[in-house]
Amino acid sequence: MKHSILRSTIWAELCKAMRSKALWIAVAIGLLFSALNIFEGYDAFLKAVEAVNESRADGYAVSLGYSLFRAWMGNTGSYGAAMFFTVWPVLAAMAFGWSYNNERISGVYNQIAIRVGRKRYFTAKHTAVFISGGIAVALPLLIDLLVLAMIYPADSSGGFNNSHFLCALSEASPWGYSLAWCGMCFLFGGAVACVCHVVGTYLRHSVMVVLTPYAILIAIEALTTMLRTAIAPQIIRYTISPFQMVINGGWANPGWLLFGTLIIMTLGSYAIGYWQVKRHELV
Amino acid sequence: MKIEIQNATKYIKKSLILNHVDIQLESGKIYGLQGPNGGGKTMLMRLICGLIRPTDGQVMIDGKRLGKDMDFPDSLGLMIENPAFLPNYTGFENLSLLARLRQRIGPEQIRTALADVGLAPDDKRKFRKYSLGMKQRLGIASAIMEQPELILLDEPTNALDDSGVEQICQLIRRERDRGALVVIACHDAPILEKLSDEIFYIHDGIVERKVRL
Repeated sequence: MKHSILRSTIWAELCKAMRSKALWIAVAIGLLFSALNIFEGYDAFLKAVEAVNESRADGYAVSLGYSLFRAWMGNTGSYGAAMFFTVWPVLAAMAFGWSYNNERISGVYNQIAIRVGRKRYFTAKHTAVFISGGIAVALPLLIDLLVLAMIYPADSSGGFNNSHFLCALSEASPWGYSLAWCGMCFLFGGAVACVCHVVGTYLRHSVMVVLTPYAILIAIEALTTMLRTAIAPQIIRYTISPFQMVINGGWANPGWLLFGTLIIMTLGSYAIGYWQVKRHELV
Repeated sequence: MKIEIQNATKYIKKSLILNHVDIQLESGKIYGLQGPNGGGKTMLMRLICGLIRPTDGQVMIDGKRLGKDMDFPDSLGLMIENPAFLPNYTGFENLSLLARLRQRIGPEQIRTALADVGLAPDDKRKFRKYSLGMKQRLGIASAIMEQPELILLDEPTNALDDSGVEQICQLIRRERDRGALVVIACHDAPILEKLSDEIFYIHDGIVERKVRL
């Protein structure tokens, strides 16, 4: 019986998340960056195609030098990609991370909590927030990849900076690798949204709730950069900054570090929030 | 159902909200909470349903301690202060979402509850487009739709016209006759006196007067 109530509460929360305008606004903002990424390289690509066609007409074997995997927002240095990877924590948090805080203030919390209990409600909300945060980050990346696949050749040579988790897959199956990296970004988006969810159990202002995880990530980024500079930049190959972790190939981060960070963010925030919710009073 | 509030005191940020409240409530009755604004009516309701916990004393429901043996009463319908629902859902969708959580009732019962409070089940307007009176009616529908054993209604007649008040009064009496324990907080003394089997007067967190009608 308990299991069934939890399941139906998760389902209800997921329905709410999917009908949340904020989730689709976050996805739309991500797609704007994707569009910028696509248009940034498109002109140069067309000119390159023209030049290659002319060279081939003259009998020369010339490589195009453009690759889907190099142009993809998850693996390029374009302005669109840079902007996306600067704001992704905000997109993840704004999707549905604020909803617990919002429902607590509006009173919707009461309606749900009295029916399913505080803890089940929190667990269901945490799950829905994780999934919606993941969608807000991963969906623009996935759509970018699919749109670019209609334009660029799927040439994997020189497409990846092979120094990190899953790098072996990038050689064997660049498509598999790109989709797996979308999955990794999904997990990080979800984890940041979970942090936002827990911030919402403490703060009351929605904007602060959405921006606080971003501020935390910026602080971690600044701290790790300072430490790296202070100690020895050439020997530190890993980073614990989630900002850097989602940029594929930027660091030689192994899987255990990426998943360890994800577990700490997701389950750590769950534990803190659960403890807070247990003693919640709605006055 | 039997609710015993035993010597319950509640402090919030050092201010005394409820002061040694000691009352018993039983099924099949309507209890009225009367008193000035800020007197503690809503807080007493929150205490009864488990949204807040007493600083001292305890709330027992059928022998089980609220907040220890149970998070909330198992069969509870609640409308406290402003009716709160998801703004981008229709009334029916809002109630369906809530009903789906415990799966005790289906769409037919939701339609009946909406009709009982005077709302059209097929109304396609979103909750945010509802008038105050409609919001109030939807709040009452959510509280009664699952036919709970305990119903708590805070100012149920707010924003309702005369016919609406009469309709809701009849509905509350019907719930009492079904065997539910109903607690109403209302600043309108004549309505409360007309409806209630027993009235508690709450002032500064103290249950000062207890009138059996």
